[in-house]
Amino acid sequence: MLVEACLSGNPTAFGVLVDSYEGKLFNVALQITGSRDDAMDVTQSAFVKAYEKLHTFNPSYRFFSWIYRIAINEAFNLTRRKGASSGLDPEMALVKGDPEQLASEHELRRQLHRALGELSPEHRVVVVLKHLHGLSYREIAETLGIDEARVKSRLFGARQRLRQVLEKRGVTA
Amino acid sequence: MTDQDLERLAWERLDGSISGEDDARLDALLAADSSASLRFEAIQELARGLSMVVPVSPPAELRPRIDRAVAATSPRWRRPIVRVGVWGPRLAYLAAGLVAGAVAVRLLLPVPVLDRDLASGAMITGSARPTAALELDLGGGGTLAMWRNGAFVNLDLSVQASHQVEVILEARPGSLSIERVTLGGGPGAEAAADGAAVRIRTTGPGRCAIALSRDGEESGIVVRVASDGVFLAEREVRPEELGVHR
Repeated sequence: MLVEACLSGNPTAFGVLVDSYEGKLFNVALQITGSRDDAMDVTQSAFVKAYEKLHTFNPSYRFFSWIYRIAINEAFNLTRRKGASSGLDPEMALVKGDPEQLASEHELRRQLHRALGELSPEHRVVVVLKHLHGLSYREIAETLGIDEARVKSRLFGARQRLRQVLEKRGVTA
Repeated sequence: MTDQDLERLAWERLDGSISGEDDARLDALLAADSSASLRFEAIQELARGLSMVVPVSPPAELRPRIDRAVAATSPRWRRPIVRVGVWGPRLAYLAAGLVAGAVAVRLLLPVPVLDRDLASGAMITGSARPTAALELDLGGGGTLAMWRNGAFVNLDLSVQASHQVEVILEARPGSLSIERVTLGGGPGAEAAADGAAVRIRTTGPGRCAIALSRDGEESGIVVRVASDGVFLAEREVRPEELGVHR
């Protein structure tokens, strides 16, 4: 609906789309690039590309899959250009829970972020889409343009690697 | 069952995608093997740890950056493209954008009747408009009437909105040219032909009558409407819709 409104000349429709997806795209980009500045560049670039290519969006697909894919590709391209990211900024995520829990979980959070940073961008993105954005296998498949079996196998590999990294560091998740 | 199988089943259960049969297999394994049970608990803890990661708010400066970058782009779909469109649904935006200033007061001045020498390209004005003229409703912001008159296509554009309205007519390149423009009143309107397109711009309520000459009539004319630079609606007018008036 919003895409159609935008293509029909409604000047505020694209702004509503930006409102809806700015945070999500920024977080995906942040997890892939590991840098706030790069994530901002990626998010901006993804919205510009989406706006330019809006007429090519196929409404039989979900908009979030389409725009996530643009952002993820932008993030991958940026990390390839700059070389693999060296890890995630430990301050870039928060922890759910009450203040007492925060202290005891701080170390786990820090280690988890470091371990996530050691995953390849391809592995990291499936973990982020699954656990941070709560997408289903099918939604991840649509977003990444791969089949569900591939999503499952990539996610399995990513989680195994994550656990290995944590175990190697003596962290029991 | 290998460690890999256990891990796969554990994640499938935690993801909620495990089959009934595998679920039962996993339960049996966890009940029978304490090391498998410990491994499952470790995986559960990892899943819990991942669930603690929550999105962060984007920096405040990001949104204005996006807005500026988007505003600076000129996507292909916003540039003039000749295509058959649907007038109706898009007019909702015209209504939203234009009707606000278009109160019921009619500010239009009468258009002088100049319907004397059609063959020479003189104007047919609103008052001389045939009843069979095609009238396009600009969503309450005005109307555009079109009709054929021999070798000419006559337009009677009546705008009530206080915004700038632009009407663009496109046909086969080089086939449209302006014969005459008569402004009927209001703050102003201008018309210009540039190759394949004739552009009429109004800057407020008013009326404008235009005679176009056509070189060939086999193709339709695409009418596009914009307000304050924002594309609003598009419709292709087929030759047979313009009728014949002599």
